[in-house]
Amino acid sequence: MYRLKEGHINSQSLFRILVILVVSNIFLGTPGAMVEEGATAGWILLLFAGAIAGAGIFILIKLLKKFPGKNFIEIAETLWGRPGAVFTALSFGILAVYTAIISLREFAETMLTTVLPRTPISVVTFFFVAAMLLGAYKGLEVIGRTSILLLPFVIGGIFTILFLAGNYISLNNLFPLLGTGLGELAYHAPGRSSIFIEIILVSLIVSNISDIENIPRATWKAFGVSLTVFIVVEIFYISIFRVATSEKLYVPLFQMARIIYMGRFIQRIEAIFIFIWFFTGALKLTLALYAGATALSRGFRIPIYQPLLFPLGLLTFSLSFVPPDIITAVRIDMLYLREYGAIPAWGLPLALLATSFIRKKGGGRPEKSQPD
Amino acid sequence: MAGLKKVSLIKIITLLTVTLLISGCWDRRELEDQAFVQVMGIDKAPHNQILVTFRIAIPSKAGLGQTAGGGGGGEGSVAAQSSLLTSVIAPTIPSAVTLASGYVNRDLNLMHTKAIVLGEPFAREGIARLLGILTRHRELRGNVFMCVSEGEAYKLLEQNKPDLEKSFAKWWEGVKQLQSSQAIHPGSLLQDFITNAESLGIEGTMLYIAVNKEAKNQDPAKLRVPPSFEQAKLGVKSGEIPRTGGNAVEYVGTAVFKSDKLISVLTLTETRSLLMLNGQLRRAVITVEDPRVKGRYTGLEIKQGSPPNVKVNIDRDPVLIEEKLSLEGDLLALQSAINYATDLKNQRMLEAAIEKDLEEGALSVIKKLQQSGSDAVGYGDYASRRILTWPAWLDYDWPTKFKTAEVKVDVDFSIRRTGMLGKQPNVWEPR
Repeated sequence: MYRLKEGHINSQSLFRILVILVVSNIFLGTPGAMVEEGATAGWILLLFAGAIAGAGIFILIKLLKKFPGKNFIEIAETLWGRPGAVFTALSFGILAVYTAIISLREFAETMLTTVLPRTPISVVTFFFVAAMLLGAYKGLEVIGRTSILLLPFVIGGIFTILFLAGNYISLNNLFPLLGTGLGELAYHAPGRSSIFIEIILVSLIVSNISDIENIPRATWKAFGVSLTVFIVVEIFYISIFRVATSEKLYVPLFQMARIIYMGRFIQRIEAIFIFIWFFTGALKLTLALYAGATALSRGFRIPIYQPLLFPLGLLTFSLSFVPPDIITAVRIDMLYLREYGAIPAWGLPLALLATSFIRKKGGGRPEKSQPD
Repeated sequence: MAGLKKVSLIKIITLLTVTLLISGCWDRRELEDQAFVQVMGIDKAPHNQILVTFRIAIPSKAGLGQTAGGGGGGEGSVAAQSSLLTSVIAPTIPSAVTLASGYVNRDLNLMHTKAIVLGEPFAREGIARLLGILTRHRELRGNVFMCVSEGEAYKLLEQNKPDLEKSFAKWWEGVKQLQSSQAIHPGSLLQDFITNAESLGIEGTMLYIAVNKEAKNQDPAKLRVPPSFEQAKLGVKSGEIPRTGGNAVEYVGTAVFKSDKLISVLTLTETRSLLMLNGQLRRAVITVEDPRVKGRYTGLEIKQGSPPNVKVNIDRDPVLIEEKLSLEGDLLALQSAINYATDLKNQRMLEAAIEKDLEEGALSVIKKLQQSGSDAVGYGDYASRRILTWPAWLDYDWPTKFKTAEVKVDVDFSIRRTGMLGKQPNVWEPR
């Protein structure tokens, strides 16, 4: 067993990390994609997707409880042997790095579209990558503490925008109630459960959490809070912009912030939002890189993950330029990552749990985590 | 100790580097290098071009000089003196910005644009080609005020010379505010217009703005009384207010669109009815004829007591729309000696007269909207509540159904306060 010097966090930090990871999806194309597929029922589609993601999380937690203190790759090794562990680590690592690549391009592009139109994209991307590398190098403790600081601002910032843009709301815009219809919603829900796949990070860092008995509670709480925030934002988004407009807008919360007008003195407040948005983006990218490096180091038995950061960071930086434009980047995100990402994310835990039942393995005692 | 010094040195270098970077690099834009557009006018031009008029602030002249009173609003307007008005023909707004930069000597910046004025001929032709740029452009925001001018926009912008305000930005903010304080226009923002114009359930509206050609007339005795005034109706729109002096530009009335095309203009009274019907009447002063003494009028300040209660029955043909409105008001002016303030029987009679007046006004606006085929009230949004799915709603074809719909409006009006006086002063006829 290799000792990875990554630091430890408690379940409270885990909760905050997971919320920020999932909620960061609100800032980009997800709310618009929900409207495209669900029309006025975009928020119901989220409920359906949430139900499927909830089932995935239930399986994941069941698996983690069956193998207390073991992370995903160790569980895979126990059940499927070395090839299984390598396969799981590669799947996990590729998914994490892929998320980092697409998110990096999307965050950089939207930064250019909204506030920095004349700055070269390579410069914006460079700063994001620098933040990613620094954060991931410092490890989970630093990421956890940053999340503790950041989460109140993220949630507070989102609800402030919703509250101040509230005078544009018309609940009539949420009708016809069933949007594209129950059949369509059910058809799109499994794919769209991919919005919540970031939750599976918990399975990778389980051995870095000091109070493992609280992991299920923290995970469910994070899922519940994220889903609630997502649904509230979606309801506001549709009832402010209506279906026809909301399916076309990029960066929905930024657009909401831009229309805020509470008399002469409260307007043009989107600048505050930019800071929240940048830090959330940077933290999400940091976690994606960290997850990718950790998964690969654990899968390939590299004692520490830090040496993998620079190559993965460089890879992320380079590959983020592969999509020729913002449309392609958003499309790759919404059509692939947020459509098929659910397959490995919920499929792997299910396969592992099924194997454990078939082979009647698991149920071991938790290994007590020790501080470095 | 040496390690500590090294760490401190790294921190100091990092902080200094960050300080240098904070001022920006590529996107650094100095204030003195930019020309801030306060208002933009758009007219059609030959060969599919547009004529874009910019009112650009001259900060160095802002607040200097004295406002000249009277004289039809004019030469002494500080706002006009502290801004530059220029028009340029171009295929699109961005190309107009580029061309204007060619002689304004600064980068034109649209971030502080308060209003966009569309020329009436252009608006009647359809503004679809403009809407893409207005929503896509990062410098323009959804709370830009949208107006249609009688005639060409460039002519109106030329004649707009505010008397009281030293800046056009402040002037436009003031105009915007009058939607809630006086209900003389619909107060439409770009955000409202785009979302409504794209929707099937409601159509877009804009403020109707015009130059009053009589404003330069110095003799009030020559003013003509609009016929509607005798029926206690303010049946005038921008350009028709009987008055002398002040800024020649007026902002009273509503430009009603069907999709992207201007199709009709509502007067002040009609605008109030529209605001009342769609639940946006925050405060308005209305006048009704005294129910017991002909030729005498009663003034009231009214507001919406609760949001409108709208029911749309889509199961019958024609569709039945029933709207219940609850309004309340305070007595402001009574011209007859009838005691409407403390005599409850009289008060109920006045309330009934107001209800009838408001109902007739509302039905008349709805009829006008039905004739032009524009559901500017948004009854379609209520109809969509009766349909379960989006594809079914798209197939329903509400705009056609609205044209022939049967509409019933029921107003419930209550007098809440009677002003600073109980009974009327006992000095008039008949004692």
